[in-house]
Amino acid sequence: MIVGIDLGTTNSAVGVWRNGKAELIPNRLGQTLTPSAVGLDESGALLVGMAARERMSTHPGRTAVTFKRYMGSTRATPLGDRTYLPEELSGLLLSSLKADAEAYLGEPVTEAVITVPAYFNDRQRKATRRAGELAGLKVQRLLNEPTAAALAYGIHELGDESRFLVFDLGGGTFDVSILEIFEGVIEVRASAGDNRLGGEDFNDLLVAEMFTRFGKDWGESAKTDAGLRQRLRASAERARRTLTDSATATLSVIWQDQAFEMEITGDVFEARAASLLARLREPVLRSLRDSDIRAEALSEIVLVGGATRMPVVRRAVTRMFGRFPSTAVHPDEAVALGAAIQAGLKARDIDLKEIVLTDVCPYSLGVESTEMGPNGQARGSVFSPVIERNTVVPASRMQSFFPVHNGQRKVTFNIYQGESRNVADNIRLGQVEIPVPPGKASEVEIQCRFTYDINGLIEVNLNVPATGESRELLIVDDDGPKGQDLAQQRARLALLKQHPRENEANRAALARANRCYEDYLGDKRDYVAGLMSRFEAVLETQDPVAADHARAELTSALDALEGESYL
Amino acid sequence: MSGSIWDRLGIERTRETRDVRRAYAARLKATNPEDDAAGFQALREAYEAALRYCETGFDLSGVRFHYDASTDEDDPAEDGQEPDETPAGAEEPDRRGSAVDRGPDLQGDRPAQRAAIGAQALPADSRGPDPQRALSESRQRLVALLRAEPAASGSALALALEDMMGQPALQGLDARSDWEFWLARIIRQEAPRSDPLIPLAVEALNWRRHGDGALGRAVDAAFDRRDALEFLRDLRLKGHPRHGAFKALSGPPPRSVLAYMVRPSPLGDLPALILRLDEQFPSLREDFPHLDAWRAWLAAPRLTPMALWIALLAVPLSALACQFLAPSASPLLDLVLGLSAGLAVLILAFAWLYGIQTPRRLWRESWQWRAPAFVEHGWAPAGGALILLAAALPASPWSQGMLAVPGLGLTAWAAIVGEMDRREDDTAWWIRMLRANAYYLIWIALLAWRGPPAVLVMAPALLTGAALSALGSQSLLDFWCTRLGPVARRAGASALLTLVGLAGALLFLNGPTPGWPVQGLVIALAAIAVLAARPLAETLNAGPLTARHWISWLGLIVLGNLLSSDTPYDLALACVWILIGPAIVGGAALMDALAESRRS
Repeated sequence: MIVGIDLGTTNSAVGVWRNGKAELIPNRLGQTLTPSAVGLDESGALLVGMAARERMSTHPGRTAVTFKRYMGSTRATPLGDRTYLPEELSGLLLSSLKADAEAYLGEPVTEAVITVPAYFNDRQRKATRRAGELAGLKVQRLLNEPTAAALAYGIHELGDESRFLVFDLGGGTFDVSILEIFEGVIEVRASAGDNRLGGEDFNDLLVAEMFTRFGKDWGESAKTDAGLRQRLRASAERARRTLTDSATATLSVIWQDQAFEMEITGDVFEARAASLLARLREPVLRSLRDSDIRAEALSEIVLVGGATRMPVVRRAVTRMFGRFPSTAVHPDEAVALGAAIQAGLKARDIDLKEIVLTDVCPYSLGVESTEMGPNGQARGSVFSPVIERNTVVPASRMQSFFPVHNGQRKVTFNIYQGESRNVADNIRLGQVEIPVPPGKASEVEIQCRFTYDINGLIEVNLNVPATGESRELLIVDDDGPKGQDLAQQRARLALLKQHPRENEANRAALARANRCYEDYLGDKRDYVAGLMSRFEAVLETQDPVAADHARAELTSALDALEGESYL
Repeated sequence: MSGSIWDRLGIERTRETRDVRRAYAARLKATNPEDDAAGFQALREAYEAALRYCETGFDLSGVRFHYDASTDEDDPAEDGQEPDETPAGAEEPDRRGSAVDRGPDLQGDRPAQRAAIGAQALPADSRGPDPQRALSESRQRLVALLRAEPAASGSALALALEDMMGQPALQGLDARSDWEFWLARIIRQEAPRSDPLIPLAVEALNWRRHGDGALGRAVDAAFDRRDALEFLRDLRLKGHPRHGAFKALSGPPPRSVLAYMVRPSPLGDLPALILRLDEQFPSLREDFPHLDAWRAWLAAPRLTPMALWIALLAVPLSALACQFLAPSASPLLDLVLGLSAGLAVLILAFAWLYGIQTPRRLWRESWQWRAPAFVEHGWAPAGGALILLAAALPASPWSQGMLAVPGLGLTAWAAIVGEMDRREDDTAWWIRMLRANAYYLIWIALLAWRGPPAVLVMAPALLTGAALSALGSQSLLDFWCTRLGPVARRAGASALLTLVGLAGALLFLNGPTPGWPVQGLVIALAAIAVLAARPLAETLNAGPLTARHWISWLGLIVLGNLLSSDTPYDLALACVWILIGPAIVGGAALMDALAESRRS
């Protein structure tokens, strides 16, 4: 069974293609969205999902969230007394999702389609793939998130020819894709995006607002307090969600046993968010330009990603396109559903055999070169793209290069990804060296072939026709973990204690209550404490039915106290 | 090949995009990119080629270009460009207004959808007068400002631009990108009046270089113009190295070069400046009306003011020198001698001009491409042969003459065809070359001072060697680097230095007055080392290192000469000599290896 996994910055979800349609798989708490959070409890046992997210503000040192933002880097997140790479944290999350899927489907799950932001570079893609392997999943495909969302949308629109734009503003990334559907072909025409723009940035905005308002009262130590920052973020998230439906929202936080509250109106928020909203425009323009499609020719603007629920974003989109966007797909679930469809495509499901999906390479790939001016002056570090961005993949392109100097004995190819002409502004992927026969520089041809496969993995092939010499490079990370092979990493993760699945819901509820306890003061705090001790007492009886009842009670009490728990 | 596209798609040649797409879709089901990457790529290539064919065929119906004709037509600036339709200039506002009034009619064939969007669906902003019309009026105002007489101030332009950017009609994505394209084009068309707009537009619209498509190119042109203006501003500053050339280029070329005899001559910088303008800042050509006249002036062979000055000064100076050396001679004779010295300088300058510079230009322009290798590089081995010949010849004035004539010829040959690695201007290059060859010339002087007449015989050959080394080192370097591997190059360098060391030892062991065969051998080896100096330096990967080596070597010679007696000390010194070469090569190799390991 192949499942489709949306590995998001804030939430993740699993989908599967069954009986001619895509469906989402609920997790152990019965929810389709699992918060992308990993944590350790006091006994050093692993917590994943809601249970971990609720502990974020109470135990910031033992919980990790938004690690997807650092995917592919070597940034180590401390968790208890150990540190973990983003890919390892993702691996833990994925194995929890895998366990949920196995429990739901009643069969082992060994293969998956995992979605990544279209703008993920090679390194980030490799890290995602490794995360899948750490979780014991064979990653059949890495699917671009907007493409997945478009699949979820387009699967219902196969009948007619249409072009639409998918506007995917998630927790941490922003992607735009333009798609065209004709004759059962779903063709991605262009992708563009911003790797560092998402709902979290809007939260940061509100957090910064709080700091400017109360920073003086809080003092210096507040600036570095991780717990406070987490509570602020949670409060900001809550306020942002409130603003979806009402004109004002209240940000509240407790610092040193004192409550601080700030009211924010939708208009003020919109004004503060202007610079973030302005950043939405550039990728849209670029994708339109690249696909050579005019905005008016688009039949629909499809909004995907939790952050597109924000009215400010919707208004910005409406203004940009001069019309109202479609909300035909569920913004949180579309990507997972699309991944499930892709899994079905991959498994050659009979219902999907008339559909073919073609995707594009969202960024340019090329080599560092030196430009020779006619005057003999050389300009080094120039990026020469070999595969231009938005080339349909799989793609293979060749370009010829020549040594700079006469009599050069070897040529080094530095491989870059990006759009800037100056290589320093692009991402370096690796390097290959090839010996060349010495001779006049203009006569020594080196053929450089780039192959970009359907999963977005790159292969570079150099060939010198004069000698028949050739070199190959499957891009290997420069900065990736060295000497830490998968088996070792897996063994390290296996050391973590796991909780029995069935207890998870209770843990999550308890963690939430604990957070509420810290979030409130006075009577409310006492009330929460009472709820908690009652719930704990029931848990000690070890009666699952009674525990379920008590949990439902606790949850509704907390809902009443602070509004519905959000994902 | 075009047949195979259609074969791959499985249809007849057609210009119907629809058919092509249908065929592609049908084939795609069989060649899924998931499992047949190569097949898919071939199909995709065929599909894209077929689509291109559909677009670029004669039948353009149904094809949309990104910036289609209707966009251009409702663009008043574009109308202004067609002289027979609407003459440019703000004096005709009525005509201009009517061009815009035509706008809505022309837009009639646009999809109705767009009008609907502009009028209704836009929230909040669409209230009030028609935004499209307001925008086009705003556009006209800017164009009128740009074409106004006298020129509008920068702040007025900035205000107009700001007004335009506030237009509600620009909220739409298409309108916005059309407008950006229009602005970029206006900036290019209306240069230099539009120059103040460039920084404003770049900042306000967040323009970036190297964008794609038509807009990207237009924006790039604006950036190029901005760079060009910065360059021009720098040129205007007194301190700029090319300021003199800039001033000269701003006016017409002088009637004769004599005009530059009394002020600093910018002529050396001029070709470089013109080349820079041509290659990097073509948009500045308009700013230099005399550019073509200067080009023609520079293309004709001409004496430099410097040569004229030297010739002029040679007359009194040599006359004075004659007076000083032979006070008894008549002043008339001094004058005749002085005049002939000046004349000689002039003759030399002309010989350089017509004997070297003109043939070199001809060689570069029309011969080099088809000349056989021995014509291009043959002077180097010929120079080596000449030096060896000099070493073998007995000392006499005849042999001197015999060597001097081919030596001159060889030098001319090298000067014409040799690739000089000149990046900086002439004077600096000559100084560097003299410095590089100084040790060599000093050595000749030293040997001459030691007395053997053989040295005098050798002089023409040695001078030829120095000249060849200076003029052709680049080409020698290429030869050396392309024909030999790194190990062979190292070994060669090592052997050469050892031989030179050996020669030095011979010199010492033979005492203060060695016989001519020894002397000749020594000099021949040294000459070869000189010819190979540049490649050696390159091989050893350290210019300063070899320079230091040569200097210390010279020091040893002087020391040895001063001590000059047959003592065991001399012997020891000779041994050191022999070892120096390999030691240097080994040291350089070691340093290379160290640097390599540090890098990795």
